[in-house]
Amino acid sequence: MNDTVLLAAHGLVRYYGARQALFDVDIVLARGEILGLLGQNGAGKSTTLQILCGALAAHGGRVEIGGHALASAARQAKALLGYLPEIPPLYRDMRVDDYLVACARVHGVAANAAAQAVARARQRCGLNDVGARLVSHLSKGYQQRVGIAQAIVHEPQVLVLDEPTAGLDPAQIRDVRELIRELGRERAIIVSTHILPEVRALASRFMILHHGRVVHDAPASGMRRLRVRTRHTPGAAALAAIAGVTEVTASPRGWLLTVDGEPEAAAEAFAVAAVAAGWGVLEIDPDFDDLEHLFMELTSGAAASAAA
Amino acid sequence: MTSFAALFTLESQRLFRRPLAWLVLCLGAALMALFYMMLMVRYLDNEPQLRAAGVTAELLVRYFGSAALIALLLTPLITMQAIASDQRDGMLRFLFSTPASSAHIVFAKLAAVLCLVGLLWAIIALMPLTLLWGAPIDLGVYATNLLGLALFMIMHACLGVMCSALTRQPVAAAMFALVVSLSLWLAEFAQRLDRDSNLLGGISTLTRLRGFALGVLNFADMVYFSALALVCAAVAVWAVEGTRRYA
Repeated sequence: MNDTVLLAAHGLVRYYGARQALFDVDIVLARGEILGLLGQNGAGKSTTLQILCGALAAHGGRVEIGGHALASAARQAKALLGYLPEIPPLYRDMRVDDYLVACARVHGVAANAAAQAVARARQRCGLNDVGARLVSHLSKGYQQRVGIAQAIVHEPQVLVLDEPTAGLDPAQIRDVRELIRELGRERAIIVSTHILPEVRALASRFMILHHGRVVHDAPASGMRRLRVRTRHTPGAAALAAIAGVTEVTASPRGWLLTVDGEPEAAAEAFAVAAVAAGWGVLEIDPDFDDLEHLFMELTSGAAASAAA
Repeated sequence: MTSFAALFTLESQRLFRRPLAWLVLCLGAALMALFYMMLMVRYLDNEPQLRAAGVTAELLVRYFGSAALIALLLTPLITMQAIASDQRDGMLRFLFSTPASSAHIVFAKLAAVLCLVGLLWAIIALMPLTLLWGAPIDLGVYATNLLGLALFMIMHACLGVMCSALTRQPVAAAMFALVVSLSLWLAEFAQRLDRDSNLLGGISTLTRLRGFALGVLNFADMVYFSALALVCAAVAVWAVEGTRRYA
């Protein structure tokens, strides 16, 4: 990960009438980071994202994108930003290519580079076959893809995606996740979603908002775990020796292995070790329960009330 | 190219793709052709009596009087979707996330609307030129009428965009613009009821157009239309920026 901070927001406050919707929200995001923003409905996720994009003014705090203050250098800051709102922003009476060219031009892409930028975005989002079609004639899934294409057409450094896989079929969801991972290598990305496995699959950091406050903000590395179950007990030391495993915890249904990279890579290493040692593998499962438990604990019941 | 120019291109493309835009242009052209024909028939039928006043006064001036009223009625149909539909569909929030400022957004939409309004103005302007083949018309009066109509239409375009910025419902924006436009038009009639008051006559667009119709270029009339247009545009920018700040 590159440590260049691309997005920094400090002390964000927002009111809707007399009701305070955000309380001193801080977000710092470096190049190469993908932040998963979680929260129940009404927690303040969309408000936060809109403030980060300049679509909504904050009533307190400041936002910097690529070192440019959103308040005083909005043009430079917003040129570095791509935004996909919860409902894709589409002009339904336009053709896909015309719409993407317009989005590229509004974001400052030169006329002679716009066609190439659109071709690249179209390719990445699987829109090559629908460039000449009217947006209103596309299915919901394709419209969502056009929404993603408009967010990346100008090659922004910071991407803000609100429910990016809404309305997509499983194959499209897989493709979009892969695209986000690819884009996330050189950019800073915020993904807001209700789908916990999606955040788990994508994010390098989790942030949980509840009643407008940040109640959790930590790297995902500590949350990446595998649950494994074997016929013969291998022992904690043997499991800890597997590549990528940083911590081993016994659980009622086998072992929980905390990993520092992709859970899939650790799962493969575990399988190889288990076969070699003859442990008799019964189950290998990336464990998503940790995130779900944490989310439920922080956003409901007594803990949530105390935090709020 | 600035974000303003890019937005202007986008808005123009969208506006001219809408069937309503072409419908308004066709309706405007058809109505003006109808008025023109009626005035022509009236003149030819009563030529001995009307010859003293001349073609310019009896045909051209009346034609431009009708044109102003037609423009007043049609402009809200052109402007009603300018900002209101973007507010309703969430597109305004998207535009806020682009490098374009609120002023860019409003003026790009206004410029696109003015292109269509300009087309309607050009159609209206070209029709009476056919008189040049058979009758002497005062080109000076023709020019002042064109200028007056242009200022009148620009002002009403700004008024329509302002109304569109103040609501999320295009139909409400059109009705709002129509009520304000007609109030300004009819203020002169109210002034006739209260002859001591100059205020109502002063704010009446009908009164302000009279000088242009008679071939008189009055600086105060030009300032009146320009100032109203600027105020409406400024209120539209304020309303759009207010949506970002306080909505």
